[in-house]
Amino acid sequence: MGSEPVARIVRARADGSAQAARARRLLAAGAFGALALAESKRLARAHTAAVHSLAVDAAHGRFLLSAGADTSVQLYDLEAGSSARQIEPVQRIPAGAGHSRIVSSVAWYPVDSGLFTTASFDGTLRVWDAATMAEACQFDLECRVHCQAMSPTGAHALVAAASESAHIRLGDLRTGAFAQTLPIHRSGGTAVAWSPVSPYILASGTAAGGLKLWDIRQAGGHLHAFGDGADAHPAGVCGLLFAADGRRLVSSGADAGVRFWGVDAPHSLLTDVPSDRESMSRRYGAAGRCELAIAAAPGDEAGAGVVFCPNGDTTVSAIDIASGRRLAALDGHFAPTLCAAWRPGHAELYTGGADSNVLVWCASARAAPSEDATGLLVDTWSESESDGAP
Amino acid sequence: MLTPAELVEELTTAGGDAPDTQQLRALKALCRDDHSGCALQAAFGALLAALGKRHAQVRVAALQVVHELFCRSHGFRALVVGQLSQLFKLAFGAYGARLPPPVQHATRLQRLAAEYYYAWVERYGTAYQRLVYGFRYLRFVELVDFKDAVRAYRHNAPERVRRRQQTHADNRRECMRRLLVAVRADIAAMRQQIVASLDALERCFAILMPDIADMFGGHASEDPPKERAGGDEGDDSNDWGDSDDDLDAVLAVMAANRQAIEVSIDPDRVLETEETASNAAVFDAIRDQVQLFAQMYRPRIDTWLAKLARVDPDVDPEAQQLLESVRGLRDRMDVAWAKCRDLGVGALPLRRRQDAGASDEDDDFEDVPDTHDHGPVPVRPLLPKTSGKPAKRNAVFSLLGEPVIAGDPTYVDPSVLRTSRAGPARTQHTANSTPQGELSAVEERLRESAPVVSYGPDLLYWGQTEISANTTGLEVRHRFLGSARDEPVLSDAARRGLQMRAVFLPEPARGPIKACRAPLKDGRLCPRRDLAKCPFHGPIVPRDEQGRPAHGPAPPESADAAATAAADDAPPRVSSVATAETPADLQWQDLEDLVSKKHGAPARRRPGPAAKPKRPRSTLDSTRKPAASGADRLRQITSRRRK
Repeated sequence: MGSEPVARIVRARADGSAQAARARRLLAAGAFGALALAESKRLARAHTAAVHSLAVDAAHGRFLLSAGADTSVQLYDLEAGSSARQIEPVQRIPAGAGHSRIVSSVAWYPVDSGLFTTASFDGTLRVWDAATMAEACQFDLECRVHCQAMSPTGAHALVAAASESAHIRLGDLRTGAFAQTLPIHRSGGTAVAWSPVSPYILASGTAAGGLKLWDIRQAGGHLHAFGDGADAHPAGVCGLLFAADGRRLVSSGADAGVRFWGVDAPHSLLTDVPSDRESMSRRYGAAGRCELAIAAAPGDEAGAGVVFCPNGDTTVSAIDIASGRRLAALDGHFAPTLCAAWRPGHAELYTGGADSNVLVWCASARAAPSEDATGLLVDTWSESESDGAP
Repeated sequence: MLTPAELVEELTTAGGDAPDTQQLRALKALCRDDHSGCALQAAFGALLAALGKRHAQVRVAALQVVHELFCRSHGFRALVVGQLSQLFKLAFGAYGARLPPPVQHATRLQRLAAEYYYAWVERYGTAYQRLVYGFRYLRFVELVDFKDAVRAYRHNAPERVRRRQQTHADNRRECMRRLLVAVRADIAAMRQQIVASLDALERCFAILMPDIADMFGGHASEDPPKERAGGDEGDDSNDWGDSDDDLDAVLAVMAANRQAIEVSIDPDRVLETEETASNAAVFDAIRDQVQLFAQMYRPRIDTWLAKLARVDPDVDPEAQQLLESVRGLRDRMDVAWAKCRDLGVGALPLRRRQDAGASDEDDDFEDVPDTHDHGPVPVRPLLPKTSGKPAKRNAVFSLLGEPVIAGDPTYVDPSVLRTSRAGPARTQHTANSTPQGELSAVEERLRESAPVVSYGPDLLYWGQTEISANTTGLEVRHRFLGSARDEPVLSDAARRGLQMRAVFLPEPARGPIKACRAPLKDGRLCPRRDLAKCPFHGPIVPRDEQGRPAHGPAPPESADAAATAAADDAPPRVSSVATAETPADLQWQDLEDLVSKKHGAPARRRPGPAAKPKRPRSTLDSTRKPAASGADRLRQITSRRRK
């Protein structure tokens, strides 16, 4: 684990050698970085193929949506399974009932948990009623949709979709029609993210690696492009995420490098976290993107927090936003990891991978198995060791 | 002494189907005795290395050793779980890795790996979630065939099931043994009492009822009333039952003639034994015993039977024996019960209540049976004495007691029969009861001297060394008395608590609190009622009617002023000098005035009316001129300015 021991941080704080903010940041990083597989909680395997997208609803932090290559969407109630050993999905869109191809992205309507949107390689972006799992409306983009997002501010009902076409298209849920088109690179968009503070600020990433910031009120063009002339990620942008304060942008590239950008200072790279793995193709199947998750204690000052970035191999990196250090590599999947979702308020991380599992991670202290299973954790050496069979 | 790595090396390269048990044991002992985990770590590293060898047989051996250690050590499991993907690659050929030759060992490796892994998931999956995730990966992504593994696991399942059932059976047996011990102790404690009661009942029956042998043995017997029908009364006119010969003769006659005898017996009234003053004591005794049986012994015995029936006979061979003896006891009790019913001593309180209501109204409300009494409950004779009232109408023989029947030659008055037969029995009874009478006399004396306390749970449980729960209405799991789940007896502490009586001593009666009665300025006496000390007038002392302290002189001037003040508003009192009839009635206070007058001194306590202010004094002196207030001064100033 790359996080500093808590005792050392506390001692430094007592000495006065660490500022309060820094100590707090280090502690938060330590807590979020030291995650372990939750032994008392398990999500049922509902997908039969890779899980490409996860979403925890922002309203309650209770419902988890997962979607993947099997074209199904599963809805888990994370609190229903507090006693059960395995959480079964409470609702689902069965494979074939909705999208006809890979569901590349799923997201909750930011205001409440009554709606969610999915984007798929079948060229559509669909809006679903979460209560009935029935389709409410549909946007046809006529090419593979890689990513879609709605503004977390809830100020408007625009859903931005990044597809293989050369445009980011904004669909309005209130009218059911596209409202706006933002021209990006012809390589097609792979990632899109809304600013959490300003309802009109949008960031987009392309398969060619360009990273642009938009104000959707300005018709003329983008605000600026990150990377000072060069592409932000030469291998292409995989994931895009704003920090909670809206002043930093986290992007991950197909080379497993993660970069932090200042939204206000587009030309300088804040932090570059290069890939520490041997060159591994980030592309899994046709879905060439990964979802990032960001974890920050609510009310923390800017810069505190941890980004969880699927590495493309079986691990998920936990990266301290402030220092850019890789705190930990969470190794739980048996196939490339594709997405991550942070459950705020519960300090739980959900990761999905190509092995069709959704793993639950929580702080190491809480990861102990339930009481009835603790009996399995003890050694059972026999006194004589004479019998070979267990 | 070999290091773990060397041991693993030897184990995996030895060849053969299974690893060498000696070396395996040595390796396990090494890992077990090394608490730092270094040996485990080293063994795991060596095993991973062996699993990575390009020879399937080595991998098989290594996998077997891994399985052995996996089933033993949590530390090793943690290590394996951390390196599951590596294991998958090397043992299953996952992630596109190919298993090394030779082929037959490679297939065996795959089969064994699936088998072991399935067993791990089944057994440890709840504690090591990653095993489950890995299983999902192998099963659904790598498409490893686990069918054989499942079959093998199921094949071994009977063994596991047998072991589980064994422990279950052991637990059950232990539980039964405890139950049996408890029941046996209970039976041992109660059995004597029950047998004694049964014996007493049977002695009472012997007094009241003829034996069957007696009935046909030549004695004048009181037989069940038979309604004879079919015109055989004429043949049967001789007084039968006088002697054997007579009986024989009667039988011969009856055999010679074809007769139809119809006998109808009312099951409620088989015997015609009326309760009379002479045998009332016997009936009382029977009633006592029946009460005891109905309310105490019978439920107890039923409980025993229910418990003993649950005990398997193979737990304890004596259980069956015990069960038989309890059944015998119950049968005996049933017989006695039936006899009691025939006697009309209804054991059921309901029936007795009806009888009582029919016979005597004021017997109602009298004998509510006390459910948990151990001693014999005193039961008042419920049937009226036959002397005063006419005999009840008999249901079977309706003419019984009618004057007509007395003239019938075939009728023998049962009372005559009884008196003639009960001679020896009576003496026996008296012989029996004499010590009882003495005892009761002693008891009476003791009773008189004994303190009378009200009935309560402490008396109910008096002298018991153990109180069984759930037979007398106590719950097995009681809120305050605790749980009695292991053995259905209350704990010692709870028992002591039950046998203790809380006596609430009455608060000592406190009389009315006396007033301070110190004279106040306005002439009244201080009305404050304090226990020891008045906050204004000091300690409470006895004072006379004027408020002067009765003992010890008060400070003169204050006492004087107080007395003056007190006298002002005191009610006009009549001097005792005027009313006194004897010198003893004179009060010195009254004499004091006279004496002082006589000596020319001014009357101390009766100043002249001029000095007497008429209005009641108050704390606020309204006559005093108010001090010039700020407002007045302001007015003065303004007026001065105007000037």
